[in-house]
Amino acid sequence: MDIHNRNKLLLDLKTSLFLPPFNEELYETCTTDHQKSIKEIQEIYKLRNDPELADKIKPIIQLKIKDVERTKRVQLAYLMHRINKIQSQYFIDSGQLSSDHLDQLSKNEKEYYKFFDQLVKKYENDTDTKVSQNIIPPSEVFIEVRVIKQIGNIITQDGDELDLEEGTQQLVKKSDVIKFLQDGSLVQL
Amino acid sequence: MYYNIDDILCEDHLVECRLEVDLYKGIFLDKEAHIEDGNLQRGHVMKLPFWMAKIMSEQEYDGIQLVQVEILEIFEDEIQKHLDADPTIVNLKQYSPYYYQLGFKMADMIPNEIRLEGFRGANKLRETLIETLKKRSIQVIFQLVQSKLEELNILTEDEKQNFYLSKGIKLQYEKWEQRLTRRQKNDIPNKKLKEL
Repeated sequence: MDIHNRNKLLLDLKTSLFLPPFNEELYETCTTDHQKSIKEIQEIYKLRNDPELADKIKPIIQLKIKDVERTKRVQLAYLMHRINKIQSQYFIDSGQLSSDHLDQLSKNEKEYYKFFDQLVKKYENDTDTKVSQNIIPPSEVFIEVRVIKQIGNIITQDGDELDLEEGTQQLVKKSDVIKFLQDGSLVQL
Repeated sequence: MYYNIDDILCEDHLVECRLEVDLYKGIFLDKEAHIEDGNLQRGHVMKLPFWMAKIMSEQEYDGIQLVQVEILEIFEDEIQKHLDADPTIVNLKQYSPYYYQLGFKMADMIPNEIRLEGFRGANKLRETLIETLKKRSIQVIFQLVQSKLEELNILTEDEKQNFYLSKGIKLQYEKWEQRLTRRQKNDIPNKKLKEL
């Protein structure tokens, strides 16, 4: 019964705003424990034909099965939390995850994200409804942003030049910088 | 609740249990016990996670309950008296980050009519937890929302959720008061104002 590893797997999720990198090592350790417990149950079950031990092995088999179910629950909760976060962040970022967020995903999760993206886009094409876009109308034309990554000079829709230097805070039109907000180079304050 | 991380972490809190029967190959429950044949004997005391203690207290072998679960120290009379006196000064997080959830689960495990030494009963525990949450919500969380420093280290996970909810509501209220939620602001940056 390895409570420490199982706890660590879940506590990891609570420490970051989006998601931590997928902890393959710890996840594999839980899977190995799971498989080891199943083999132990099978070994003990073989003793059922011994009349002296037939009754004695019942409680321990039941408890070991509960332990296996617990490990399964922890792993499923870990995966489910990550999938739900990916889906909710997808809609927050208006149909696209930033490269920083994608770096935190495992190979399988990236494939899931591509599949989910295709599914949403297919639905949008079929129903002619933009579900991935932000449907809450803006309350301000200009928004305050902080530049996280150096972008340099950009041309706005009005034809003006805008210098987005790393570390600066500026009041800009949302429509001019929406692309940079989505990929994480700017953060709205 | 099956996938709820807080529920899973809450139930991993260790509780002291005494084995009431001989358990064949029970060593997997207590790896620190150095027993050669791997069998645990009746009377063996060990620490089990709450979820396992609950299962074992409900199971029987030959008509006898598998374990006797001890009440956690953090829910005994002494701590309950401190909470009755002034819950706002007690650091509940040091006892458990899921103090309330664990308390209610512990109370559900004990029949209401049972009275143990140093424990006032399940109903009394539930009442104390509800009163504690009410008083702490009003005083501690309200004060933190008003203050600039966010000292969240003394709050349990339930209280933290209440804190963030309260903070969000306070910000929404301030925006509404200043009519920022509906008004379309046509802020013009200084550069453009100068041109005009």
